[in-house]
Amino acid sequence: MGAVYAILTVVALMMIGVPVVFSFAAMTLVLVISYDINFSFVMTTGFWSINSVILIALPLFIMTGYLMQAGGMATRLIRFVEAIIGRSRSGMGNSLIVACGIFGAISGTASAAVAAIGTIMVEPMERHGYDRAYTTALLSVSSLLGILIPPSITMILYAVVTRQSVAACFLATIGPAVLLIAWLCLLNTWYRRKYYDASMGPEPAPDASRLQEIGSTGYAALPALLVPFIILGGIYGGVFTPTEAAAIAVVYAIPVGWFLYRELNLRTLAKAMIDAATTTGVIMIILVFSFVASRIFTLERIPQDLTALLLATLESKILILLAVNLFLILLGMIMDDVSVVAIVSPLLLPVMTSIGVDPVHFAAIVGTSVVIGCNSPPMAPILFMSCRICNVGMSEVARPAFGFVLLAALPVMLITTFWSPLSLFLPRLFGYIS
Amino acid sequence: MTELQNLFRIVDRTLGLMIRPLVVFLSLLIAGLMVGGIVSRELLGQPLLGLEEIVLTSVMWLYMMGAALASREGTHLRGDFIQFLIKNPKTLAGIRLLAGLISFALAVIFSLWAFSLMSWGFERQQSTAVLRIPLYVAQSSMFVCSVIIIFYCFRDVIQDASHLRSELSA
Repeated sequence: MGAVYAILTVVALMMIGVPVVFSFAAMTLVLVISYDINFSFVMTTGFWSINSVILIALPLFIMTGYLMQAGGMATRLIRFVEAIIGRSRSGMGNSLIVACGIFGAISGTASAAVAAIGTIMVEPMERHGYDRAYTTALLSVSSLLGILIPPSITMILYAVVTRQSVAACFLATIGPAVLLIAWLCLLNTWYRRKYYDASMGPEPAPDASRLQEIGSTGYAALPALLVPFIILGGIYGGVFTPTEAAAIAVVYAIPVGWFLYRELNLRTLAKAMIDAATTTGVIMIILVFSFVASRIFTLERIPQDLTALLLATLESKILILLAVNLFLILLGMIMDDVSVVAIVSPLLLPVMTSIGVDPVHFAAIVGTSVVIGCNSPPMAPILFMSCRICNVGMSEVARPAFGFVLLAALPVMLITTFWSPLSLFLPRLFGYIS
Repeated sequence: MTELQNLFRIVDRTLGLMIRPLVVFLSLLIAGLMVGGIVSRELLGQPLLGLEEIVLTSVMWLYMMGAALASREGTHLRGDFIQFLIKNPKTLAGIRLLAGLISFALAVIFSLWAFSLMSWGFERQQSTAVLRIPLYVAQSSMFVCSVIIIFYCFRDVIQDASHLRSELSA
């Protein structure tokens, strides 16, 4: 019963506007009192849980995202993607989707993609005939590719809390991410009739000048395009660990932004570092309490009880998977992605393994479910952020956003859940699972 | 009230001046040391022993100072659904004050937990394996962070209380 009270406490406090970190502290307090846990256990567990080398990847990848934004790499990447696919009728929308995907391969967070791509692309898309509310919804869903495309902060968190390989979890979400990109591009082409005013669209450029533009923007974006290759090539080539790859990315991004693009200076560098530290600090302090809570859950055998209950109530594997999907979506609607991953993953993993779901496959299920939660009110942190950056009201965005969630994110989540090769093919290919 | 506000402003400015450069320094130090470790291992064939200990100690301070900065700037994640459900500004101001008071109380509890961890560290005098860095260096970051968070929670409570008072008198 203590666990139920603890989770109800988190939800109730978050509902009245208590910050997530204090809601989690309250949850820990309820658990400590309910299960008569030693007072000194709390912070000792919390401290040793975050005092981990693997977790250092998290601040470093966040730092890379901020540095690439401040150093002008993001702008050049978007220009390059726009030059390749931005000239066709549905091109601007598709280039936004692909740019979010590429930015996800650099920053690892959805919020960085919203901030970087939203500020750059919303105005030009409106000039080219795209409805502003539609662009906002498309940005909100596409930016969540940052959660799926490695290096993903969400996947680092999942790997740490469930003790899985970070590299394997990174690979697990690539398949679903590619599927989501393709699905969103198709949907954007289909939606174009409704939300795109062709009379405002650009005149198609002659082939020669288009090739020239692709060449020049590609050359300018080359140092930025190298980042994913350095990170992923280094990790899967066995040269360095994900944490070291993140450090290399930081050290690489500084001279590129400073000397090559000349957009980074002492002031912008310091600001990027401070912003990254603030974002990291918010996540880490939540993690302290969620680690303690999840340790108490384990000590009290709550995941095992939950497994027994679910197996007794829902006898078929399909029903359990659907129930888990629904639970993750509902929780995602009232909690942010960090909280969902930190609290729910260790709680549900025993349920998943008991019905034969590989923990790496579950990483992909969690990732694709979080994508839906981040865009579903009342919490909808990414949707709200997109509205703020694009300066559009929530009521205008709700309809196209709901369309994207229902017709793109939901099918991708269901395919990921019920067709395991989509997420397990790459981890198997690289030998992370047998 | 003005004197209290001035005091808040002075402490806030001093904290900002101390934490922000520290965070920049720690970020550069951590990234630099990690890359230094790779260069030494891969190119010079000489792994740097103890490097991980400096990085882990530094990163704890980076995390905690980042969290303290988030409190300063009011950027901690929050749900805040209540503003969509309740439109009455007086009720809303009352709930905001309640949330602030709960946060303040929980910040004090966090601080007590962090203090117990730090005093345990001082008592046991444990240190890292290679460089013998005392563990309380990293552990005390949590207590320092919690004290800063208490300060900003208190500031928020005072602001919420004055906001409620002005709503009630309107």
